[in-house]
This record gives sequence, C-alpha cells and structure tokens, in this order.
Amino acid sequence: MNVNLLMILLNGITYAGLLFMVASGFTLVFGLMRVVNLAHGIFYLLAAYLGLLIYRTTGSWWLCLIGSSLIVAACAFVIHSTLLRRVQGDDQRETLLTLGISFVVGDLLLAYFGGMPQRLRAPEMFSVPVSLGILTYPGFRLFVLGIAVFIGVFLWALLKFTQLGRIIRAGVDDRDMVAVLGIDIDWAFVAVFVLAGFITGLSGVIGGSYLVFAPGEDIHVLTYSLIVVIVGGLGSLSGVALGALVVGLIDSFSKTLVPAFTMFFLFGTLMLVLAFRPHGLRGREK
Amino acid sequence: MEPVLEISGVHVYRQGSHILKGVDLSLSGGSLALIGRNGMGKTTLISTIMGLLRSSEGSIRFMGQELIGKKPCLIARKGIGLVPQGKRVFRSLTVDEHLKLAFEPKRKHQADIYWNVERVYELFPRLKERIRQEGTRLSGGEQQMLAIGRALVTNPSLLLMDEPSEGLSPIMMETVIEACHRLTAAGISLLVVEQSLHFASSVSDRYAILMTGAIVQQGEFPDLLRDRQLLSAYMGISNTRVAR
Amino acid sequence: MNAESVSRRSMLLLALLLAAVIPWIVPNFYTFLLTKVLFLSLASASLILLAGYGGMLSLAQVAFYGVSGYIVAYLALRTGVSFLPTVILAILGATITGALFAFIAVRTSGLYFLMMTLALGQIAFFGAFQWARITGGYDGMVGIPAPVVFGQVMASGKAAYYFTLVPVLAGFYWLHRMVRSPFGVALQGIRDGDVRMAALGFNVKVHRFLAIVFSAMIAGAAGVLSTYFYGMMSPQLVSLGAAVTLLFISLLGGIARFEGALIGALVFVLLEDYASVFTARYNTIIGLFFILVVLFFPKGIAEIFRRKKRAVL
Repeated sequence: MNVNLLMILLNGITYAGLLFMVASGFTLVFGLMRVVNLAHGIFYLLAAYLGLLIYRTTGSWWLCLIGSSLIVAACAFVIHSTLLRRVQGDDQRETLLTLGISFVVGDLLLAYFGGMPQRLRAPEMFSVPVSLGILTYPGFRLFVLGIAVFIGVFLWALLKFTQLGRIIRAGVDDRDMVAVLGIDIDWAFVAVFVLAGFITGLSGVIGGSYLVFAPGEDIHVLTYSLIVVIVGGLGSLSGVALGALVVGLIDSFSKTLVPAFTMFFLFGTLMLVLAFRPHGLRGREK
Repeated sequence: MEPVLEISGVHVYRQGSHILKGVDLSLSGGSLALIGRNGMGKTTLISTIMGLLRSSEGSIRFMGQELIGKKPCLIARKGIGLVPQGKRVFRSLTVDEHLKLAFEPKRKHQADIYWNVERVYELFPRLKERIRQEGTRLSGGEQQMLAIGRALVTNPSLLLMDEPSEGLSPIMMETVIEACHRLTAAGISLLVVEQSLHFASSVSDRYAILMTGAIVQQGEFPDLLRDRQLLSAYMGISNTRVAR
Repeated sequence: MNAESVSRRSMLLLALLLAAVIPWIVPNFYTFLLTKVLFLSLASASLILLAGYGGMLSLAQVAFYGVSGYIVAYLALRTGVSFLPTVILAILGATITGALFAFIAVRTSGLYFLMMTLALGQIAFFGAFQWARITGGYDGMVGIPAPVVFGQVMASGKAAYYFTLVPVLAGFYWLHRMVRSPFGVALQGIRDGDVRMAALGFNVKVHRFLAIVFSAMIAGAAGVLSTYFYGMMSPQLVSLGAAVTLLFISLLGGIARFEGALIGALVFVLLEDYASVFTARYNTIIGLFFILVVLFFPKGIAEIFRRKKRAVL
C-alpha cells in the first residue's frame, strides 16, 4: 500500500479515536436525559485551558489530565444541580440553558486567555515516533487511539455489567418505566452528566495536546460531535464508534486531498447517511 | 381494617380536557377489577396512582400514606408495582437484566423480600428458557410474564395491572390468570384494569365500572354477569359475548 | 367590523406612520439602530415562523442569512451584476440551501430537529471559513457598495432606513398572510399534533418542508439587507454566536407571534448598544440574559414547547 495513503488512513483512525472520546459523553447524556448538551464543546475547551493553567504551575501533563477532568466533572455537577435541575423535564429548556452556558463560558475564556492558539505539551515519552513497518508514526497519536479504545471498553462494560449501566440502557428506552420500578432515575441523570463531563475533560486535555485550541474550538468540537452522533445513530455507543470512524476518515482524506471542501464532504456524508438511514447507521426508530 | 388503597375525589386534567372527574375507589386486599369501555380514564387513573400524572384535586392513600405529589420512584418504593399497558419491556435489556434491574434487595427489610429472580423463574418457567433474550424478541405472552415478573421483584404489596390480557392467546391468558391467583394467595392486592370480562371475573370477585371519569357502579362479579341491563349500559356488550 | 378590530387597525396605521416619519424625528444614530432592528426582526420572524407556528426550533437560520449575504457580497464585489438580479440570486441561493437542509431535517422533529439544524448551520459556518477563495475566509468581504435602486444610491442613513423598511414590511405582511392561509393553519395543526394531522390526510413532511423553505427565503432576504447595511460579510454573521443572538431576540419578544420579533430586536439592539459601551464582554452579558430568559420567562417558549403527550386513553 502507498505510504501516503496509509498515513492518511492512520490519521483518520486516530482522529476518529479523539472524536469517539468527545462524542461518547455527548451521546450518553442525550440518550438518557434527552438533553442535547450544547455546553459539551465548552467542557472540552475548558478542560484544555485548565490543563494549560495546571501545566504552568505543576509542569506535569498527567496532573493536567486528571485535574482538568475532575474540575470539569465538578462543573458538570454544579451546572446540573443549579441550572438544569430547575427546569428538569422540559428537555428544550434544558438544552437552551446549556447553549447559554456555552456562550457565557466561551466569552469568559476568551477574556482570560486571549485569542491566541495554544497547545499542551504531551510528555516526552509520547514524542518518540513509533516505527510501523513501512512508516514511522507519532507515538502520541497511537496513545490517543489506545485511550479511546480503553474508554470504549470501559463504557461498554459499564453499560453491560453494572446496575448503573442497566438503569441507563433501560432509561434510554423508557424513563417512566424505570421510575415506577422504584429506581431514582434523577440520581442516574446526575451520574451520567458528571461521567460525561469527566470523559469530555479527558478528551479536552488529550485533544489539546493533539491539536491546537483557541476560542471557537468549542463550537468545532460540538459540531463534530453532532455529526458523529447523527451519522452513527443517537444514544448508541457502537453508533458513536462507527460514526467517529466514518467522520474521522472522511475528514482526514478530504483535508489532505481537497482542503477547502472538508465541510461539503461532511455535509454530503450526512445527507447520504440520513437519506438511507434516517436514524443513523446504528440508530433505531423511537 | 385499613384499606390498602383509598382514592377519593381525584380530578385529572390532560391537555385541557377533564379526564377524571372525582374518582372514589377503595381496595382492602384481594383483587378488584376496574372495568369500562375505552377512553373512560382507566389508564389515566393508574398513571395518577403511580405519580406519572398529576391530579389537580383529591387524595390517594396507600396504607394510610398520601401518594399525591410524590415522585413515581418513591411511590413504587412504598410497595406499589405496575404492570403497564402494552407491557413496556425494555428493548435493550435481556430477560435476566430486566429482573436484575428491578430487584433491589437492599431497599427493603429482609423479611419483606419474598420475590427474587429465582422465584419469578419458578412462577414462569418459560422466562427461564428465554433468559438471554432481549425483551422485544419475546412473544406477547412472554412479554406479559416479564412485565409481571419485573414488577414482582420489587416485592410490592399492591400490584396495578393495566390491560394484562391485551393481545394474549387463550392459553397464555389462562397462564396469567393462574399467576394472578397465586399472587393474591400470597397476599398481594391486585387492581386490575381490564376490557375482557372473562379475564376480569376470573381474577377478581369484585368490580368497579369507570365511565367518563367517575366510578358509576361497584359490586360483586356474579351479580354483574347476571345483570344484562347493566352490562349493555356500561360495557356496551351483549350477553352472548359474556358467555364466552 | 367590531370596535376592537377598528382600534387595532388604527394602531397599525399609527405604527406605520411612525415608522415612515421617524428618521426625520430622531437623531441619525437612532435611525442607524432602527435600521438594524428592522432586518434583525425580519430574521427573527423567519425563526418564529418555524418555531412558533411550525414547532420546529431551528439553529440554522443564520446559515440561510449567510448564504444570501455571501452571494450579495460576491456579486457586488467581484462581478458587475446589477442590484435586482443580485437580490434575486441571493434569495434564490438561500431558498435552495433551505430546501437542501429541509430535505434532511424534515425527517426529524423536536430536539433531533434542533440538533440537526445546529449541525447543518455550523457546517455552513466552517464551510464559509474553508472556502476562502469565494468567501474571503476569516476576514470575510468588505467594502460592498451601497445598492443603487431606480438610479438612487442608498448610502445615507435615511436612505438605508427606507431601503430596509420597505422589504421588511413586505416580509411581515407576507408572513401575516401565510399563517392565516390554509397552509399556515395546517402548519399550526401539525405543530399541535402531527399524528392527528397525518390521520386527517395532511402531508406532514411536505408542510414542514415548505415551512423551512419559506423561512429560508425570509432569512435570506434579511441577509441581503444586513449585508448592504454593514457593507460587509464575514463568517461571524453565520456563527453559533449569531444563531444564539437570533434565538435570544425571538425568545425575548415571545416566540409564539411575529410581533415578538420587533420587540425582541428592539430590546436586543438597545441592550447590545448599552452593554458594548460599558464592557467588551457584552457577549457574557447577552448570554446571562439569555439564561435568565430561559429560566424565568419561558412564556415565549412555552407555546412551542407544549409537549406532545401521547393520548393514553
């Protein structure tokens, strides 16, 4: 196989890994809570900027990763209990609130950090290129892919084998029916929202070390998450994986071959998928 | 004796229309069938008891405790189980996962726990054969067994059953009737919403007729089945169908 | 004709008269702000048609607005196409974009629709960035000459005001007629219960499709006006921020009726003007107001968010 082609393919797959991380939290929240968390992108960006602060003071990338994710998870908890809870049950108002939050936090981040693009420095151990037979590949990207696979397996096991997982899956199907079994589904909402915040925090720090970030990156992330879950099918973890792969590859190929038209290609993909599978590749009719 | 369930003066509005107009109903153990034609408010009443719908007026007491205004999950924890209309099994959960999901032994005193996953499989051996099947892959009758089993493992003292005979084959209907007898024998009170008089009169001795949002008639089944006039007035059916 | 409708008519007449003479009464700066209010309210009305009357909350309106804006900018700066064909092509462009979006989006409703329109709108936004050869990328296109209508250059503040006022009034009138036409009544019926309307023999998807297309036309017209007003076009006008702004305007005034668009746009323009004097962080202030409106004044949104519950009985 052509080395360039293989490179583009690998770039697509590793980018898909990042997209999977970002979109998995989003789809979990939507699937269970019926809230389109439009603050999702800003969670990502917030984690990246928090990582920048933590790195400046401690110099440890691993501390950035854990610290930022925990703080973002805590923010998710606060947002849920102060704002979303007030309008719980009104899905559209919850969604609009997250939009407002994203607007405000985005502006405040711009005020504090300025508009210059930033990047986190990944640890030395990842800057070593890895030899993969006919080509060498950046080690950090392979690490990203590894983390994505790990998160995927973790979420799959959580959904499959734990009581929280059963509650989430059942709640996606029929919330009221879960409640009348005596299960406090509100508690599951909080757990999922915070978990999604944590995973998004992880992906923010990892993504911020993979690509540069600047104000506005939140919207980029949000848009890609939306495309991934719409293509893959809402609320399904395997759908996110598939959607991330499709979007990652199309993005990688079109960015290399026809950089001005990436968005048109993504739009075309969306049209094509939805024309034949209105609920996404792995989506099910409600 | 204190009634298990005491409903008085319950009014419910939905999307501007007055569905329940002062329902009074009392159940003190055993089984009571709530019958009546379609669109009379039976399912609305069940949903209101469970806390899924809000009533604007009235009181619903379970073992003396007021239920109105409580969240559905707290109402369920007091000891009320629901077998909903249309079964509503979870399509992404297997049979076993349904029962595991609903079985929360930590929530109750050890002495109050009779129903666990194994006992449900004893009651419905068919479910055990389908243990790894997803809920929606089951037949209608099996789904009904699963819906009953799912409610049972919460160890309720009152079970609300909404149209349990809907879409069941005659053989399956007999199985469910027999299961209901075992439940009442085990001391669980039943409130059964039914359209099928055969099913209703087989599981309950007493009936109440709900018509346009209020209870219009209550009594014992043998009396009802003899009263042609009452049947055609409230149920809109002739004697020949009752005989079946 | 009863007394109420007489008084409504005279109120309307008074308002029109006021709109006609106001540039001669207030200082030029306020004429400038009022012109902004006019085209923003038309854009907001396009959203209200979809959200208030059609039950489809859309975040893609700014994309339609942007497509026509870019067409105006491109034709005016890079070609010699004259005013009228430019406007027609621009609105046609927005309408075709609307039809493309609608083709995908009518398959969904509620939150899925919102999500879909957000994705589509943002694709347009990033597309505007990437296709720099045509759109001017990040910087956009500046220096668009004022339009020439009947040999008159619409350059001064007053001229720009009237140039905006006439199409905005026409747009509102068309919308007013539309929602009272059989199509509009059916659309509102679909908003309140699509299953029931489908059972009555209405083609729900076609009605939704047309509503999106009409709304894209109106948004496109607003985009034309805005582009001539600012004399420039940039991706910021298509961004999520712009979409939020439009949503905010519509929520402020109450999303259920077209009159809300004018009130919302007026309040917004004044708020923006004052806030930007005091602080560079006026986006934060707008965002906080947005959150407050959603939390405490859902009256406007209550109408479209009347949740469709399945009839259980």
